[in-house]
Amino acid sequence: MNRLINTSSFRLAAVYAGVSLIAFLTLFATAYLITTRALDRQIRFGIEAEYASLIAAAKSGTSSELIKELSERVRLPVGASFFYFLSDENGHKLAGNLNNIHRVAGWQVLQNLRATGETAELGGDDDHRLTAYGGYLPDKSFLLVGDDSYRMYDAQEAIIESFALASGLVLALAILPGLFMGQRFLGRIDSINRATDAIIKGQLKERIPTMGRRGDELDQLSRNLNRMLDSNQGLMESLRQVSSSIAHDLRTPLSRLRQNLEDVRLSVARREDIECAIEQAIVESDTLLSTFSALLRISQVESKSRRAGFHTVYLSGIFEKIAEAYGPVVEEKGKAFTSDIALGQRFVGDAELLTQMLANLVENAIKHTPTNAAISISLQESDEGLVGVVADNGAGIPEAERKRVFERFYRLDRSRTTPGSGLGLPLVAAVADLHGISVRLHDNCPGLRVRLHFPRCAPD
Amino acid sequence: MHLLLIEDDQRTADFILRGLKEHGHVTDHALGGKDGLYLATTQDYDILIVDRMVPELDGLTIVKTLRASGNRVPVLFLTTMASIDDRVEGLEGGGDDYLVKPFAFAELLARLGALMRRPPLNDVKTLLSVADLRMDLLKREVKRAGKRIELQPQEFRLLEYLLRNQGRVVTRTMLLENVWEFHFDPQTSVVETHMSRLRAKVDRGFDRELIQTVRGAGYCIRNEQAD
Repeated sequence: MNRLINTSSFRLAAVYAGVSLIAFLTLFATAYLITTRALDRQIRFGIEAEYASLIAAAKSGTSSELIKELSERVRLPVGASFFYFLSDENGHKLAGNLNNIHRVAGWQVLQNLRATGETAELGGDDDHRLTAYGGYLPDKSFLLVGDDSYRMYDAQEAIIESFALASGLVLALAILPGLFMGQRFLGRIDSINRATDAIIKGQLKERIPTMGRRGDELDQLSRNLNRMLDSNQGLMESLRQVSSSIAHDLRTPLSRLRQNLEDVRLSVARREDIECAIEQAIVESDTLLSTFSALLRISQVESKSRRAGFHTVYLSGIFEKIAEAYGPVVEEKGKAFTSDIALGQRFVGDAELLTQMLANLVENAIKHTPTNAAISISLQESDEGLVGVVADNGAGIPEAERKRVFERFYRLDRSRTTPGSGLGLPLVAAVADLHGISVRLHDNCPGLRVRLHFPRCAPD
Repeated sequence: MHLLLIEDDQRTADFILRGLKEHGHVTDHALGGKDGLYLATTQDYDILIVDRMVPELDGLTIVKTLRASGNRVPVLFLTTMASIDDRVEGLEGGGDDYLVKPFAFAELLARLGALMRRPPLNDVKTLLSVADLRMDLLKREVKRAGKRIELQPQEFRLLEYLLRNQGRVVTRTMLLENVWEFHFDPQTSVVETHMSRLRAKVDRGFDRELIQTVRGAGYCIRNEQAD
């Protein structure tokens, strides 16, 4: 119950109920006051008229004539009659159906009165109230006319009753749906909790149930949480794949390193041999370190924090720098190099990462093509935007493997013997993803053609 | 040179201290940031070698504090964080150079050499020369023994960097960072290829080779023969 009261829908309902109750009370107070005042005024009009008619009936203005008139009037049936009291100048009762009245001129309200037996009863034990008007006649006798205010009581009671009933209804109407909705809300929260509990306990495939076609906030939340869980699961799986690849791929150079060192220890080597072995060990560990830093680089790029430092870079300049830096390298290896770079092209991104992305592609082409191959790099503006291409006429990548080469440590069977870490293209993919650049591998017939499509506007 | 090393890892510190001592440098060592800052403000050093992550006060804070008090001593940052963000942050925070661990000792030595003789910023020469080689940065012209040499833009920048650091060893990484602005390690021989092309143009056909290879360290342009 406590949980239910703490749900937001219940609280909202309670606030609504409170507000409507206040509005009702205000309405009630106003109606009560206005009705009471109107009825009171009506009663007083009646009394004034009766008083005036009595005075007019006793033409001489003496008490004796009034006595006669009063005895007539008190005989009228209950409810139709007023209450009267007439006394002489000493206060002794002369006529009327009321006893023991204090002589006060003007309006007064009389309570706890008893009428004389012969006249209309003033109810049994009811606490009747009389609104009364009194005045002295010319002969010093005192005449009082009163009227029971029961009509006013009735009206007031009716108002109170109807308002009490209505407020009760309003409260019930406001709070019950709140309770109902709160109950439903709690039910769904419980199902989310059950699902997350299961996930915490290791059932990673568990998902939060949604209501289906109706897309309220909770459903949206559930769907978003599910999407987050999907992507987390994907990340965890790729993490698992990456860590097993790392373990597998680093074992080889590490064991080679160890073997080298052991060889040196076992053999009675000359000084030059030892130096040579140390040199080899340093090269081997440098390779390991560079693999690690490449991995680190990829994960840094994948974390997307670099987007904060994006600014407009001169893309043509980056392409030209790469062409100038690698052109001689390509030629030195006996391959042909051509470049066709459109000038004046700009792009929003990270210059350092874009440079490395392009360098990786060109280095890939250099490493995986035979002597006499031709390598080309180009940047052109097309209808769809800027398109960069790094192409060669080497052996290319079989279509089935074009997706897999972007996975960390994935290497084509035929390139196992060429030096490389299998981390070049994964970094290209990470940098491209960071920039919203689409990377496509095409058949260059023969060879590989890497097409980079730079979007016109910066990624979100 | 009188150096200060602020480094909390004892093994790294031993490696650096031993190497610097062998090369004739006197080096003070602080294990923590507070001691380091105290020494840096009270002693007169030629260069500070500061690890980015030291206890008490991190390296960046130490250097920022020094710079705020007007201390202009050259600073070389050491770090295990191979991220560019850290490098930019370090250089903007007042560091003069940046070296990622692990590094070869020759690399550290070359960088210290470059820092030691770094000319003041406003003193940028437009005419560089060594022996009979002249480089005019305004005319973008290179001559050796009065004979004009045509260089590609990247060869020009490579020669300019060597000349600005003449007599000192520059490493492959220093060249990649300063000539090509490559902050990664290329898998192909970019530096070697351009260097051999530059040598072919600058040194071939002359009796003396000005550009020399320093084994296990890098390159050096100087007037006298290598020993």
